[in-house]
Amino acid sequence: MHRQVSLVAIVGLAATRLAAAQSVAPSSPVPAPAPPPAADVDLATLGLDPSGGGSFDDKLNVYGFADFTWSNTHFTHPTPYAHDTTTFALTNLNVYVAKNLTPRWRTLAEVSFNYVPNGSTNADGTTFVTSASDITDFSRTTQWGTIAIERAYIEYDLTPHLTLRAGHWLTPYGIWNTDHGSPVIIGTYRPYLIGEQLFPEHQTGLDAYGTTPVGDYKLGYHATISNGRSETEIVADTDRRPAFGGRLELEAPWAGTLKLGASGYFGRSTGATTSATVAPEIFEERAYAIDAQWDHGGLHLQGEAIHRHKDYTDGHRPLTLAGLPQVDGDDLGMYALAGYRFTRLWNVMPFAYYEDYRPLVPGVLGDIKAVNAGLNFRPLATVVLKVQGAYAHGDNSGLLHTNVVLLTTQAAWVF
Amino acid sequence: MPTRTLLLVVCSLLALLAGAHAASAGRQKLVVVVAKGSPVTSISLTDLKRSFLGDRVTVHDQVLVPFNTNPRTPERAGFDRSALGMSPDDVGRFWIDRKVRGQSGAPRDLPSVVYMAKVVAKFPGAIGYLAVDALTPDVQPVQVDGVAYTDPAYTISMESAAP
Repeated sequence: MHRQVSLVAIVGLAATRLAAAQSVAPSSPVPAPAPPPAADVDLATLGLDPSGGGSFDDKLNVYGFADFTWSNTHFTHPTPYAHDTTTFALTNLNVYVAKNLTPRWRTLAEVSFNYVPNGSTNADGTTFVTSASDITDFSRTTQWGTIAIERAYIEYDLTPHLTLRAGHWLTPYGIWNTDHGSPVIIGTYRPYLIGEQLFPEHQTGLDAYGTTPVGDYKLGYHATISNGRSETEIVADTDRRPAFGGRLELEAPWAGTLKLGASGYFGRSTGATTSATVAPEIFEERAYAIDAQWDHGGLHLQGEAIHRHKDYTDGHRPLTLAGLPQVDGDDLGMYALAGYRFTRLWNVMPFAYYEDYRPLVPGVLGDIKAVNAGLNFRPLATVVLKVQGAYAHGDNSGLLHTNVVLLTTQAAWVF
Repeated sequence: MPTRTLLLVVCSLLALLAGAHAASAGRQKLVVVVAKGSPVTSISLTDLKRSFLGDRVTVHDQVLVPFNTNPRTPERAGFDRSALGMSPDDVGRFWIDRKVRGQSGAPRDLPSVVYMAKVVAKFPGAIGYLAVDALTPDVQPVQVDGVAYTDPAYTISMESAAP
């Protein structure tokens, strides 16, 4: 505990001192440098086509983000399945490759580089280790990881208000499914609910979307068709039944900026057959979500609520912890977050959020109620430092009959 | 005695107001400009913000192509603050966050005010901003929310240069 307090104190002290040091640096704009001779400017020298066709950025853009985390996890009750941990971890390294092919065609790919499965825990509690002898280095042992294609798609603007996206994309629902990069997430991690994927996190198929201004308001929409949910959805529609989804968005200039969204998803999830003796899990699902964000000066409020109904196919139901076939039912969850971004102390944002998640299948903690609070520093546009504490209360219906106290710090950066 | 105190307070307030007015008057206005002869003569502040914050905006069948000056110029800082309502830090965060979301990038930065005037004059659909004393015959001022830059109610202005 002393170590946690010390680290938080060190981070806070460093933030204060560096912010103070930064405050003496000039931050006001400086006068423009002496302009070049006022002779005719050749647009071509600026990479601009006078016909208007070259106004878009046609460079290949390669950039990304990464984050490094320290976490301390404490289980309030002893459990044979999980132990207290204190660890550093390089948690994300994502690289984007983007290019405007023409003014109307675009492509984006985002690849996540992972150390998993190295270090992950097996079902029997042992640790999975990926080792191989490296023949380029005297056959010394090395550990390998994996890559995950977060998204890869091409887009075409059919009209100013309709764009067609084809490929593998993040499901357009809520706030923090598409805003999934650690630098744009206020806390050190997203609310537990979001990672539970009541909507699929990714889909493979088509997404028709667009926006249109209506006076001072902006309306947006998405309509999707995809392979739906399965372990292999990126390469195969296992049940040959497409899934459908949609989203409506409204942005209004009400005392700042208010954004409202409503999303839906309907499909059949057919698990891959991985065993000759165990039937894959199959269910029909209907998911709905609403979300809201309001920004007024430094004040930021946001919340999401998600509901999903699952109807299992007989013979393809999972077993409960009691060994009985899982009944049909609902998952339900919500969170609400408030934060305020100051213009001092590295643009610090104190924030807090409350989360309530009631899963159909109890999972690790069963029904979860969690309170989270922390600080988000943004010393540079490209660097985010975070400290967060959380207390998660389970209702003892899950695998672990315990509550969890989690303290994390994180540095996330964009490059 | 209370009368003298009241007079002192009133005088102080008047002096403060006069100072504030002088500071405000000392800021040079920034004129939103398009090419001479463009059908775009007026734009709403909402559309102006949308255009400079990454949305595709069409006015009189003309897709606007926004151009910024260099971020470290008083023109840019003034435009960001008085037109977009954002500080330099806000602007930096906004465009970095859009990159992480996989959304479109920022408008092009031009190296200087001279480039701004020339590019706006020549490039189809271009929209930018210039200080009043940098206006040239090749560009056309645009009213914002129906207010011309000559109107005292016009609020888009340059940032004061660092001393």
